[in-house]
Amino acid sequence: MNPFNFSGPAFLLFFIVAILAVNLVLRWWQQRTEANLPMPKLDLSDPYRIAYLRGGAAEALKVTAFALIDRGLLVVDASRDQLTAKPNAEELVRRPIEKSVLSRFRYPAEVTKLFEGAESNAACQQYLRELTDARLLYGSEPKTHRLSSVLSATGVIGGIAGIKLLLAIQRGKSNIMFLVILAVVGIGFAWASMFSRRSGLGLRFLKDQRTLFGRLKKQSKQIRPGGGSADAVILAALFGLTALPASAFPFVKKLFPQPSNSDGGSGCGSTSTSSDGGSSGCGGGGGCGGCGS
Amino acid sequence: MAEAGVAVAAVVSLGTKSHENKSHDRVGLAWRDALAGGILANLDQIDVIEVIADEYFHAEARRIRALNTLARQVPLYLHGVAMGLASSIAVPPQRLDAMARLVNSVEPEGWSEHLAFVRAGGVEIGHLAAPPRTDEVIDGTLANVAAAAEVIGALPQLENIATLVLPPASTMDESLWIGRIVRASGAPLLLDLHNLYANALNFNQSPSELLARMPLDRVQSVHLSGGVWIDEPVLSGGQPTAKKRLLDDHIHDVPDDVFVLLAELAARAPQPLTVILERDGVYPPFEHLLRQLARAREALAVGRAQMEIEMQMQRAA
Repeated sequence: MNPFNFSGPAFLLFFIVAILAVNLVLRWWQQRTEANLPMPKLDLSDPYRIAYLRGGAAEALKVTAFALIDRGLLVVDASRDQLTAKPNAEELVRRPIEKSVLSRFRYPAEVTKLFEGAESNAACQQYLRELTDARLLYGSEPKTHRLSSVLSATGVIGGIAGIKLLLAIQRGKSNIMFLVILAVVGIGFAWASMFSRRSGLGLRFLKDQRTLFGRLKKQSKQIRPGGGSADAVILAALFGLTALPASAFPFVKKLFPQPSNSDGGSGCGSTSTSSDGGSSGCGGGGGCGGCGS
Repeated sequence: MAEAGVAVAAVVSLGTKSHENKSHDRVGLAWRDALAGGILANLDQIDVIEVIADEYFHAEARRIRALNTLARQVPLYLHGVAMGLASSIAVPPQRLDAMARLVNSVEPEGWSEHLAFVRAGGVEIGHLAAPPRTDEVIDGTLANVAAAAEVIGALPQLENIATLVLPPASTMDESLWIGRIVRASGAPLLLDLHNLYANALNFNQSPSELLARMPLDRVQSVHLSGGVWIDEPVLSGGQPTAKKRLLDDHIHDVPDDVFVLLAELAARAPQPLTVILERDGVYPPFEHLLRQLARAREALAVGRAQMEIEMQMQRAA
């Protein structure tokens, strides 16, 4: 059974499956190779850094706002779409991102203000630098170490398409447009991996942290509000705000109605190569869940 | 058996990726799932963690990999609880293999086990039992420690245990028995100060004097925990008495006297000490545990200051 002898639709179906398989193997290979690098030492005591790794600046800011609300330093008003910092609250926190969030709400403001200029937030920039230095995140530049695997994938997809094109031309066929389009799309997907935000090491780090705290997630219903323990913030940082029990933290769904980006994919803004990507685009609606890639 | 001890003494290091300068005292906490969030959020106040190894012997690969990642973030020790080193019965090879695999996968800073026996006649008793303190048991223990070091690639830290009854047929006291084992094996001592405290009180000794008799130059790590007073166990054929025994249960706070013992230890043992607080249930707010860690640091500081004063006095004399 030679797939190059398949009829047009059957071959296109085969080609689509081949493109998917090549891209899956490509990403698996890239992640596996990067995940086997030595794990760096990271300051785990800052949950907002973990939230940044998981979902970018907007996620880090959301988790920070949640933590401050839970500790009573940031107050949700009756209508629950505005936040106000408690007087002198900035003196009671030590992390720059906490101070940054509180400073935005010195006066009552809508939740969307949280996300204004998210990517250019100095604390988030610091997280980006640290995580990039630790090789858990990549910057916006192309990942040249992935070039050989991307070229291999390009060769496989291009090779299949080329052989079929040659055969089609020899057999006097001219309906090759779908084949060319599919080849371009397939190769484009492969090259997109040159620009992905999180490294295989970063994904491994997140998976490992989630494994360590799997029991905390299972027992999340036992978590009580009030900032009495770090469990709620750790849970939100690792798994997203949706992992929190809605009965204990009803304000979360009201303030951040869109689901958190808790799947380990990249977050808003972080996919942008612009200097301020995602700041306004992700703030609308108070959420950022749909911005990731 | 001394030859075996010398032979294993050559195997001293795990060759793992060390994080911190171990030239100073460290204070940490035993890792429990219920404490994980608090530990993570307060790693700036926790120098080292200790994980129960036996819980990971049959764990999925992803859990062991996660432990390896954790060990890259914070100095981590693996603590065994069911190897049964202190026995004339050889440790089953599969237990040594399990610990070896885990140590190899996690790459901890070190590993430790109890000076206890846990099986006899093929039966696992599910308890850390104090063996008779005899020459025969010392020989068996040295053989077991040598075998463990060979298979696992590093000597364990050996921990003294608490007991509610004096081991029958013993021919020597606890401090002498432990001293002979750690010196002949070359293994460092993990001194559980609450176990020492409980044994001293349960058998009418002064905790400070028992501490002084221990091989303090071999102490590398320290366990702190708490306990509760219970009625004296009634042995077979015996009658209940009004006597009480201090049970090391790990669900109560560290007694003040144990912090005093830690200060005394720090005053007498110049080498760096790694102190681990153990808590196995009835968890208080994490801030309470952090305060206990802070008390441990204070006790270490007091002991070190006292040692410094004594050294100055000796120099002056």
